Amino acid sequence: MPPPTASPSTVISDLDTTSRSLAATAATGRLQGTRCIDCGARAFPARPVCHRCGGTRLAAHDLGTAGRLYSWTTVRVSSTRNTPYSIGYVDIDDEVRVLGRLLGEDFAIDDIVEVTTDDQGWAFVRTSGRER
Amino acid sequence: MTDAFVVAAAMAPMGRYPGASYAGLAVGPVLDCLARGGVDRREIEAVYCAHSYGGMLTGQRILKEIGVGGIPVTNVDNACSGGATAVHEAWRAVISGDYDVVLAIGVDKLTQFGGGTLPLVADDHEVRAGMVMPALYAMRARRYLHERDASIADLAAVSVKARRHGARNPYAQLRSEVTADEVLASRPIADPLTLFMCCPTGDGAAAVLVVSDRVRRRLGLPAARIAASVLHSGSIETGPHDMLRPEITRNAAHDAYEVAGISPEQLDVVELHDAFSIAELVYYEALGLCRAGESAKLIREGTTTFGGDVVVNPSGGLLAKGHPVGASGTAQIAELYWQLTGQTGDRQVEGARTALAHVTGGGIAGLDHGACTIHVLTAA
Repeated sequence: MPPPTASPSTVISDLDTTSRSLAATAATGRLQGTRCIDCGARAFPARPVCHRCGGTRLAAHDLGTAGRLYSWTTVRVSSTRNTPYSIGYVDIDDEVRVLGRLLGEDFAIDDIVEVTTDDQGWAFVRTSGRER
Repeated sequence: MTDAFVVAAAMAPMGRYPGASYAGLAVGPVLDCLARGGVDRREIEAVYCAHSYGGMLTGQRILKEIGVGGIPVTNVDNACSGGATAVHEAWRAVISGDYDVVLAIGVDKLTQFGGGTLPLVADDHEVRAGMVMPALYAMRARRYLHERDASIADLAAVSVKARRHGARNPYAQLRSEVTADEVLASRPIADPLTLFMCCPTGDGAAAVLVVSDRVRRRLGLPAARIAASVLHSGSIETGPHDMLRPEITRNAAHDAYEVAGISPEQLDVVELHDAFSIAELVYYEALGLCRAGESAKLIREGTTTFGGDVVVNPSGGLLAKGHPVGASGTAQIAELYWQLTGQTGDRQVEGARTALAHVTGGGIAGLDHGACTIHVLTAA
């Protein structure tokens, strides 16, 4: 019996997946990521393939709005963007860390930040009342 | 299996060369390397050429200019780790017995971008959010200052050391010393990093000849044995992790020490990846030159400059030399080969017998680094 013909592999439009995820975040003001149906791993932005188990059954998942600032910086020199601009790594929980724009000044490590939206999309701002 | 040895090296001074193509940068070092190795160009059996921004067939474009062709030529990209990956491939080719005489080249021309931060792959969502390499390291620096008993003065001290070493190195792009005040007052790039805490933009090329034991004995040249050559890639980490604990470097270093049969205390000289001064402090810990938390002490006490226990970046490192991405890893091997064979003049580390080279290639979301290459070299 002849061997089965190899069927073509699927191309993943991952750029579109990411863009939709970021757009949905900007539209709702909440981090719209994915959760793997097989192993439960969560991610932001949305993933077409699970980074932990390689599974391809990913469900849309709302990761909320708040996190803790792990570190941040203000970029003062750029040939592609207006400066200064600030970005930071925000820990949503013990599984997800997100890099995002920061709006405002005077951030500190361990600040609680939350998602907001503006004309560029979405960003993090410091939740009023700094934790000490 | 045979051992592999570095028996010759050459390098162009790193700097700005607007009138030179990739071939223009690399042909000089390649010819000098072959001449010093006493090897005719027709004796080369394989070439590995590292670059990140040279375009298709960069190795072949260089080699055709000197009439070398026919043999296997492989172009290598591993970002900032590329030049060391080319040496790693040369090492593998020799120890396996496939080839006896292999050339490794590292080259890049960053001035083609007109200055500023390096272009990273735009598909990456972090890049879309504004991530650039200085920003990544700036965040690492801010976290370091938050967790360690250290101050911005310690970051400045790394740059002062680098520039002091570089002043003695004819291959360095920056050959003037700077004071701590000048480092702190230099142009802010990404807080808290200032210009002099970041490596300059430049062009460069280096070439290294790797041969088998049989050829080494025939040539009778001063040689350095490649006691370990370890290449790792990063593992994706999408959640919270410790930015002060680069696992890729720790793991690669552990493997390298095990293969070479040494401990970090035995190192006389190290060339590590100081693209930003914070990196040097973090890598002191990750390479086991000190315990976690002790890195600031090392720079303050002069342990890592001439006269100290282990001289780190006698060449001036990336901070003084510049960081033409694909060239840096190869240039580190050239420097250590010269250190181990007593050819470094007034930047000589006295009695250097055991050396380590370390470069990490970065720039991808979810991977603190994409690649890490570590070599241990010993005087043969």
